[in-house]
Amino acid sequence: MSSHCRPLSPPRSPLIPSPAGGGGLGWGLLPVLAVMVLAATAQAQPAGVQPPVSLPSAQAAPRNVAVTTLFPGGGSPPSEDPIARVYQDNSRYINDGKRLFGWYNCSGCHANGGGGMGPALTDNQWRYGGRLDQIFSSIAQGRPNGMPHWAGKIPDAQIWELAAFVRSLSVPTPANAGNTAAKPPPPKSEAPGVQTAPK
Amino acid sequence: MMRAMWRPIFIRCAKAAAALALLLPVGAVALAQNPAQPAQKAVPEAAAVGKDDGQWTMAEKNYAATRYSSLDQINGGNVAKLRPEFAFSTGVNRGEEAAPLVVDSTMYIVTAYPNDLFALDLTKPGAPLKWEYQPHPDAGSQGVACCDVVNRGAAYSDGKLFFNTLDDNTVAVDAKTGKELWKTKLGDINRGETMTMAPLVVKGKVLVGNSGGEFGVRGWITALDANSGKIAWRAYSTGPDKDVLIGADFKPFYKQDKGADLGVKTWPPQAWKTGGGTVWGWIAYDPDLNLIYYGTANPGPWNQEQRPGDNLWTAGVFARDPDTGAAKWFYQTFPHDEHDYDGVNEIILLDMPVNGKVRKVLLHPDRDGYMYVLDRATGELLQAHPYGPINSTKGVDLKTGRPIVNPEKTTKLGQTVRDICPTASGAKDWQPSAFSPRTGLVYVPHENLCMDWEDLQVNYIAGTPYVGANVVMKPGPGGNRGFLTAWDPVAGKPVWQDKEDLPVWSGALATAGDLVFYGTMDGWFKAIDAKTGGLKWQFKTGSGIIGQPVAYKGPDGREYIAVFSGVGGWAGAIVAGNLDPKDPTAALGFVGAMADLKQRTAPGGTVYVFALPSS
Repeated sequence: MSSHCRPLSPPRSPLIPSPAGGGGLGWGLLPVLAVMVLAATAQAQPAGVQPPVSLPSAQAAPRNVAVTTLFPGGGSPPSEDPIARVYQDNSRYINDGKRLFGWYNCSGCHANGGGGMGPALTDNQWRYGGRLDQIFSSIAQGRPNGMPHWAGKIPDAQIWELAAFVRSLSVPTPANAGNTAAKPPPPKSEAPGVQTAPK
Repeated sequence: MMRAMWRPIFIRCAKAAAALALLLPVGAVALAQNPAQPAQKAVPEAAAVGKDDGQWTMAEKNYAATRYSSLDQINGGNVAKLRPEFAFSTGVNRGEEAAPLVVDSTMYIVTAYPNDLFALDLTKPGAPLKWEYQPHPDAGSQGVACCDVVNRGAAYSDGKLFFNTLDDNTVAVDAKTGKELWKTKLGDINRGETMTMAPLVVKGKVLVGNSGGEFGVRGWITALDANSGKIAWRAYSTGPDKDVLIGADFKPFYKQDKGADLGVKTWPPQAWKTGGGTVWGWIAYDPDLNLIYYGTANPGPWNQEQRPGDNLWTAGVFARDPDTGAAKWFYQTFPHDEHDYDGVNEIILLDMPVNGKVRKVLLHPDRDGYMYVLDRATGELLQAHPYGPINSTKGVDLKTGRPIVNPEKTTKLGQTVRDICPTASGAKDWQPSAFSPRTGLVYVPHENLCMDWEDLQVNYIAGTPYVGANVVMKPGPGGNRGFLTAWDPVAGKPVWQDKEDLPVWSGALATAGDLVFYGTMDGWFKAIDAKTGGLKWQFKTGSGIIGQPVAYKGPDGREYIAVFSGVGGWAGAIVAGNLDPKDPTAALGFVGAMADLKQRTAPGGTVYVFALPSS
C-alpha cells in the first residue's frame, strides 16, 4: 500500500481477549502500553508524547473528591487536592493530555470534544463535576453509564494530564484560547456551580 | 418534502464540481449496462412471503423481507382521514429503531437500552399494558455502542418473543405471560461487543449477530435453539475456515474468494482477530433453497492503511445453510473497504427478469451506493446500479464482481480527502426498504451525504473504539440530506424520488392500498402514493422518527398503521446523546451534517397507532 502503510510503532500485538471475558479487560494490549501500565513513570510515554517538563513529585490520585453538591447536615465540597494546581491551566500538561486523549482512544467516544458514544466535553455541562480532581476521578474510576475505569491502566500523572486537557475544552485557558483574552479560571478551591451549604 | 420525477441524480450536483465530473460518466456507464428491459415486474419469492394473515411477526414482515402488507382498507382515497387511535410512551428517550410486532391481538414493543419489552392488549380500548419485561442490561454497555443505544426489534415464533440486549444477551420471553424462558450470553462488552439487531427465527433456530465494528470486534452470526437457548452453531466473519464454517459446500462465484483460510490470509498477521465484519443488520431466508442471507459489516479499524488486503469476509453478503451454518457462497461488496461501507443493509428476495430470463435474485441496496442484484443460488453479480451520488468508486465490474475504486478518494494518513460520496453511513444505512408486488417497485429510504476523511493511526485497546479517522459529514449534491427513492429493480433505475431535507433514517412500509409510509427525523409520519410519490397524508409525532412502520389488522377487523417515534441512532445521536453541534467530528462525523437537528426535534420514545375513523 502507501508509504504510510506501516505497522504501529512498536508493531501491533494482537489482543487475545480472555475467553471468560470477565475482569481482565482483555488487556493483552500493546507492549508499549503494558510497559506503561507496569512502570507508571514519566519515562514510559507513548511515542510522540514528551515527558512533562517536571512532574510533580506526588502523582497520586486525589483523595476525597465529591461528585455531588449535597452535603447532609451542611458543609461544603472538600477542598481540591493541591496537585490539581500543578496541572490546571498548564499548557504543557494540557498539550500532553491532548495527545494522550487520542492515544488512549478517548477521542473515539468523545470525538474532538463534541461527544459521540460518550458525552460532549466542550459544553461545560458536567454530570460528575467539572473541577480538575472531579474529572480525574471520572477518568480513573469510570462512571456507570459507559465510562471505562482507567486507574491502574495508565499512570496517575497521565490521568491528571488528560483531566487538564478535558477541562480546557470548556474552560478557556491561555493554552487553548489563542490570542483572545482568557477568562481567569475559577477559584481552585471552589468549582463553579457548587453550592455552599445553607446556614 | 420536495418531490420530483426521476432524473439522473448526477445532473443535479450543485457543488463539488470535481466530484460531478466524475459522477456523470459513472452514471452513464451504469445505465448503459442496462438496455431496455421487457415490461415485466419483479415478484417476491413466494415461499419466503407465505400467507399474509394481517399480523406482523418479524421486523422484515416475511422471510423475503418485503415489508409489504396486503391490507388495503387504508388507501389513497381515504388516507386523508387517517388519525391517531392511541399512543404508548415507553419512557425510553433514545433512538427507537424497532418495528412494533403484532401477534394474537397483542402488540409487542422493544425499546432502545434498557431494552424493555412491552405487551399491549389490542382487544381493549386504548390498548392497555398486559405486561412488561425488563432484562436490566449492564449499564456499561452504553459506552461501547457505537451509534446510539438502539435496538431494531424482536421476532415472534411459536409462542415466544426473541430479542437481543445491548449487553450481548439473546432473550426468549413467553408471549402470553411475559416470563423469561431463557437468556443466553453471547458476547462481552469488555471487547466492545454489543447486540442491536432484530433476530430472525428459521426452522426452530434464532439467528442473531453482534455489533461493534468500531471497536475491533470480531464479527459473528450465531444460531440458538429456540426452545433451549443453546448455541447450535456460530460462524465468524474473519479467521480460519473452520471458524467461518467454510467447508466443502462453499462455492463462491468469484475467484478472489476461492482458497483456504482467506479470512486469515487477506489480512496483516493477526489483524483478523480485531477485524470487524460484525452482523448487526438484516437476515433473509429462502425456504426453497434452504439458505439464509445476511451482510457483514466494515473491517476494523476504519483507517485502511493499518490493514492491507481484501479483509475477507467483511463488507459482503453470505449465504448459509440455516441448519448447520455452513457457508454456501460469499460476495464481497467492498474488498478492503476504506469508507466504513458495511454490507449489512437489507436483502430482499425477488424473482425477476434479468437480460430476458427470470432469475432468483436478492436485491441489496448497499452502503457504497449501488443497488446490488445477485443470483441468490450462486452469488453471481447480475446488476449494480447507483441509487445515490457516488464518487468513491467508478462503477462495479460485472466480470470480476469488484468495485472500481477511485484513487482520488482513497483515504490517507494525515491528509484530509475531501468530498467523498457517499459518506461513511452510506447512500443508505440500516433503514430497511419495502417492496410492493403491486407496483413492482422497491421503496428505499436513504441519505444524501458526503464527507471529508482523514486517517489517524489508532491503537487497539480492547473495549475502546478502534476507528482511526477524523470524519466530517455534509449534505450531498443538491443540499437535501435525504431521499425516499422508488426503484425499479428490473430496469435498474429510480422511477421517482421524494427529497427530504433530513436523512430518511426510518424504515419504509408498503401496503396493498398503494401507499408507502415512512417518517422524517423531525417527526413527520407520511403516507405517499406508491405510484407517484405524491404526499397523501402526514402527522407530526412527538419526536423524530427512525423506526420501522408496520401495518396490521386489529381484532375489530380494521387496518392499523403503527410507528415508533424517538429520534436517535447514528444520524440522530446529536439529539439523543446531547452532543455539541460545534464539533463536526462528533458522533464519528455525523454531527457535521446534523448541526441543526436540536432545533428541529427533541428526544422521545412513543409508539403511535393510526386508523381510519370507525364508521
